[in-house]
Amino acid sequence: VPDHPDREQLAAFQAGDGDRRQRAEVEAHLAGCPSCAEVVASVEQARRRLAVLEEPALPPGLHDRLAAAVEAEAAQPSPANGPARWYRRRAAGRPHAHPVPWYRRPVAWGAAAALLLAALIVPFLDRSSGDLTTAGGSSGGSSQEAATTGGAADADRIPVIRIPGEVSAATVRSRLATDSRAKNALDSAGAPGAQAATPRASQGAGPGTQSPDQAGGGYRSSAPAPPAGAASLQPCLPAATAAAKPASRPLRPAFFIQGTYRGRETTILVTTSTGEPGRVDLWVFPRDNCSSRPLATEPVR
Amino acid sequence: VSDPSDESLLAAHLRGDPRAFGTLVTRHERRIFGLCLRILGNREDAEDATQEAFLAALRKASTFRRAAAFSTWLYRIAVNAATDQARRRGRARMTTLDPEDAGVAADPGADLGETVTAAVAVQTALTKVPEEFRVAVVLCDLYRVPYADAAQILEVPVGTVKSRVFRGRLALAECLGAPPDRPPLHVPGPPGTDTTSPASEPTDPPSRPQE
Repeated sequence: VPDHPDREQLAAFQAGDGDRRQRAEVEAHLAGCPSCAEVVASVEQARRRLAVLEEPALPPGLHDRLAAAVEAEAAQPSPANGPARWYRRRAAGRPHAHPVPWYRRPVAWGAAAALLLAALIVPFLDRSSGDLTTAGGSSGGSSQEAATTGGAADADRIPVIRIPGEVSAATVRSRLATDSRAKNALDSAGAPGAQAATPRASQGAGPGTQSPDQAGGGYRSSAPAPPAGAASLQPCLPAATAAAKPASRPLRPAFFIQGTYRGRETTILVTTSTGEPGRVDLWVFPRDNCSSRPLATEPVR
Repeated sequence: VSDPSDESLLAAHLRGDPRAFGTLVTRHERRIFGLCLRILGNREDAEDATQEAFLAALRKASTFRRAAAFSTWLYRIAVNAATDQARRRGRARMTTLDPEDAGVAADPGADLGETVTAAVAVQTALTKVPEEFRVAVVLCDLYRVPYADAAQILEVPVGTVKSRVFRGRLALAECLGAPPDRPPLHVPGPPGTDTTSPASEPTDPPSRPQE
């Protein structure tokens, strides 16, 4: 086998460049060189797989945001506007057209409203801060039951923790370090013998799953139950499992978090991984709605 | 009556037509947003970069020369806005797995469809491809920009564009890592934990094409 073509040559070949003789040389090499042929094949395959990406839709609100930003920019008599006399003329017609930072432009008010809303919601969440309850507030049962009943009874065995304010991997990490109930839920999920979860038939969280009477001071009978109850959390585990890479499967559910993730009201499933001991992941869903794919996922450790 | 060309709209804008630039925004906003989203991998950054791109285009409008197509000129501005945004953000932002961001229409209530999952996997892998290569792949493979135009957009020789596209696809294949005959039915695990990924340093390409 003569010298391998370098990447530039393979790139040119794949781009359809070269005269007949040059292409024939590369083709002959590929026919006799499995490693070069594999490179070209995997590159070609990657090109084809890109076809699954369609052009994304314009997010709602972006058009208005752009229009407002362009309007504000055009109103500035800034030197950056250069020789475009039009801006100067327009600006001259507007007394004191000061440069407007983007966050003061009208579009920012939507964000401000969201912050205000968050400020109103946080105190409410704060009341139940630290509450550990179970999804749906069901009465306790043996873990054996949880494991064997399967189906609809599963999610209500998984504790739900409310965390006020913004939740991130760091929040959960510190929670696990300081909140023994969260840590217990995690330890039981990862314990040997805990029921493994599968996408088809999710199972209970295992022997350590806390029923209300085990949850100690954290449980208050007056604690508000999650609005949509256990049924809505039922699909979380299958959805997370479907999104997990095979090495992480099966996932073991530790607990749910109800909190804000990147400004959005979410339900977050915290799992450990059977495939990778020590791994803890967050699976973020819209609040009380796991029927779709996870919005995001993030490793805690 | 056919719609005015982009170039004549820009000329009208420079003559003082107050609506011409807005028409250009409306005409190109979706493509520019999509371009930024593919490069940046998350919607928030893509929206910011899209805004920056149009503002930069507005500021630079008078520098446009008819030698290039308006779209080529705008793409160059958008690519610069996106890469600037990436630098501003560093690597702090997590990769989003929102199927809408993967460019597949979300079908509420549907199962995690294979198409959606595959699209999310490809977008996730794309964000792991070194930026220089990723931009070339996004332009040439996703946006079907001819190599010669991509060379103008990136201000590099055509051979360099081809090389970057090739290396980008190769890095993508490595990130996707599935056997050729079996499309992936999963998204990769959360970012930052995938030690099998050979190209997890987008800002530091392991090897650079000859330029």
